[in-house]
Amino acid sequence: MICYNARVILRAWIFAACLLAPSLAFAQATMSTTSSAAAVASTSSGAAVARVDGAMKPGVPAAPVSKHPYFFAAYGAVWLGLFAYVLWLATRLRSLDRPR
Amino acid sequence: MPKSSTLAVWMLPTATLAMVVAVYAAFVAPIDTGEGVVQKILYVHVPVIWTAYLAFFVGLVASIGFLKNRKRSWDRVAACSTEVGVVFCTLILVTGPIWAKPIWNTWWQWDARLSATLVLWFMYVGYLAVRVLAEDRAQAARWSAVVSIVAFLDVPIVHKSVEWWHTLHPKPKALSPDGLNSGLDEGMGTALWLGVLAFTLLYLTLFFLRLTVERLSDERDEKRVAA
Repeated sequence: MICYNARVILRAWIFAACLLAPSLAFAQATMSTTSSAAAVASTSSGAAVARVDGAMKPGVPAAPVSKHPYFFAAYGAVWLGLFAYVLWLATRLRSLDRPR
Repeated sequence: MPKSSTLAVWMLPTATLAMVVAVYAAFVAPIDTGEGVVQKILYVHVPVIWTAYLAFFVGLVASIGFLKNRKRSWDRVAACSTEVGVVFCTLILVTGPIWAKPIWNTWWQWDARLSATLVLWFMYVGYLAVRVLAEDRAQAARWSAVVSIVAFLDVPIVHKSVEWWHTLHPKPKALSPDGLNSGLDEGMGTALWLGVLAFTLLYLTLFFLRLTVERLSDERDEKRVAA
């Protein structure tokens, strides 16, 4: 029973991670804006100005730029770390399941 | 009492739902006027360190319980909770530099808060090493319980370091001496506390899952001894 439940939870975890990743990407895409607006709204650093200049070049369409790149990076790092840990747990579980 | 695996099965959908809500709240939270969008890392970084504190605290209580009662169940709880805590502590050291680079223009500073957190991580990695290197399970449980108690002394030092010393690290805003959420807007406070709730549920899921693996390991060892 324990083994069965643990297997269920591991599969559910992988499912949850797979579900959450695209929803995050979707949220990221829908909440993004054009490069010039994002640069003006977020910061006045040199990099941001360069992006505005790039978007203003004739014939170059304004590319969507994320409004929350740092949050996304931090959140992604956390999910990757936890996912690696769960995979390690799954490996241990499999080795315990194997009859000796 | 329900088994740890059953608890984990029930905890996972709750944690996932809470995480989706927390992520949404973080996305829609107002943008900080000083730090801009970089400040959004707060909604991940702070809940992660809170979870690590919680995991280490559970490990401390279980270690004291083990030294008092010498029961395997206490040691099992201490080992599982501390291991999950180490994972979260590692993630603190990953998410922190992602914030530090755009704000401080460097990934790392030998600042009191950062150094104390690194020391905390090393001590708890030492805890895991002690468990692996001990000659038998009883010795591992005894030694690691002592290490857990000593290592936990660093947790209040980490938390108070920004008040005790002049540091670059920002002072606590959600739980500051000036009051709850004193340094945050309403939307920011809500997003932060939703994150804390979501990561606490995530910790419980991982903890019960890890406990399941440990119990299976114990059962197999018992069968091996009996055979």
